[in-house]
Amino acid sequence: MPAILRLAEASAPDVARMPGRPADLAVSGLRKAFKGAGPVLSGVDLEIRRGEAVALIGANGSGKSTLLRCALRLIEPDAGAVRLFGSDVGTLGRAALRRVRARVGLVSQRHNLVPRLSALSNVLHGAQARRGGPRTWYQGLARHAERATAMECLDRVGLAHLAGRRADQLSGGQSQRVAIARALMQSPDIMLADEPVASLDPAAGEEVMRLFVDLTRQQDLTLVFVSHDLDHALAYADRVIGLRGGRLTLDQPAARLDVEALRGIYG
Amino acid sequence: MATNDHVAAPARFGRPTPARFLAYLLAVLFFVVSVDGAGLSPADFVEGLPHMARLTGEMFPPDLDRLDAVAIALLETFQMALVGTVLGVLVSLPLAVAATRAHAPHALIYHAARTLIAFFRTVPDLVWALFFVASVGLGPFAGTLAIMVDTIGFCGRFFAEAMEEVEPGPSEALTAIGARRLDVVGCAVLPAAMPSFINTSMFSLEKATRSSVVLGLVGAGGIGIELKVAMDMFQYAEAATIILTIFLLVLGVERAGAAVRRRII
Repeated sequence: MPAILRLAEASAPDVARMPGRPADLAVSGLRKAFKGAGPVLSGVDLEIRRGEAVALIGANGSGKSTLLRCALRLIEPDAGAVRLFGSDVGTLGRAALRRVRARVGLVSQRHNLVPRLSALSNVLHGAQARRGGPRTWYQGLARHAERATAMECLDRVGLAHLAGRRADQLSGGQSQRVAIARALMQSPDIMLADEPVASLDPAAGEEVMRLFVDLTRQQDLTLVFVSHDLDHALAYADRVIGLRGGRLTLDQPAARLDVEALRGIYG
Repeated sequence: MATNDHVAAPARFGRPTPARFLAYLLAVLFFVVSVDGAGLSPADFVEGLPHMARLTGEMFPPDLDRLDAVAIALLETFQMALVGTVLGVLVSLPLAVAATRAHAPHALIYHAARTLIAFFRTVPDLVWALFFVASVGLGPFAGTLAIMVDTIGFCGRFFAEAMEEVEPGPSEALTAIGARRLDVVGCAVLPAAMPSFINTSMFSLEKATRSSVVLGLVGAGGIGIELKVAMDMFQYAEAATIILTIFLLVLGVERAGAAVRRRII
């Protein structure tokens, strides 16, 4: 039996599904197909409640990233509905959509920092969720309070000493920490992470993942992270959701994960 | 590693389709016809060589008597180029943002901005100079306006292309957190495209410096008029001084531009 499946059988922390809490993210009948690639999502239904930590697993092309992108309406689904904090994102106007997006932190595999700007300027960009304008473009123009908050966020990811360093001069792990600090600067209610440590070596990946999850737990944020690392899914999630061929085929508490179902995701 | 002997290597060169072959053939034929149309005449060239040698001989030694007047005209030329370029770059930036598919506020604005930039670019700077001389009168202001419009056409296009080529990840990350379109441009697009902006702006200044010499020929200020008068009056030694100072100015601007590019980019 593979190590990861043995780990699944071992006792993981049993965390309640928080049934009384409202759903931060609710998806129903979500479908999406790309030209030439066929359907990527084939009718996905799921609900993620406030405070849950959910791991989204599945083989390449199973629709995990597409699901997150549809959730934020970065791409338009072909059918189905996504509700974020109770609002149907498909029907929102531009301003209302921006307000809903502002409550969602997004951390991606590729960090997506602006390379020529300092770590501090990149973190400051997270303030765009609340208020835009040139004073959030560059740290030199920032309001004193926002600059101080950005420094605090960098401090929380252990990088305050690198605040002035350009993003393109940071290591992969440091860049991802800055991306997490940017998301913290946003003061989100839910954090979405699309393979946040996939581009890092195992040691840095472990370190960044632990930091990321600790920070989201400290703030009682809802967390949804996509991962190919089942160890991470079991260690950091309360609930594991598996997609296969664009369909949801697994949805179980991490503590009671069915090994056969897990095998079915990748089998 | 095992190889499959039955699989033939691909052809070294793709075989053109009949339509593409015909297009190549027509292009070559047109070039051959154009050689005649361009009036290329080796005989005339050879016959003109002694005249070129005589003219060059009359230019040396350069006449430095009017060096102070030439220097003032040269300074005016560079000032026209500098002010025209800076104003052109400043106007180009918002216009270029409107001319990018991803950041234009509306499809109509996108098409209008692209059309305007294309128009400014395709009309030669000499024509703009004639237009502005007729509109605002003789002198450096007309030349500055001509350079500004020419710069908008040049920088507008390349700024827009630079913004289109920026890695989309940071923009998407900011869009995902609810940033407004203008903030996405300010935070993610402009900083990423900045090296290209600086490069293009420096090339634009070099181009404007060369152009501002020619603009003087139609009365749009600068040293061009001095050169024209010297040539018309057969003062070839004075013309040589003017040409040498122009050479030094253009070379200086190019060197300075290269240094700025090295330092900033």
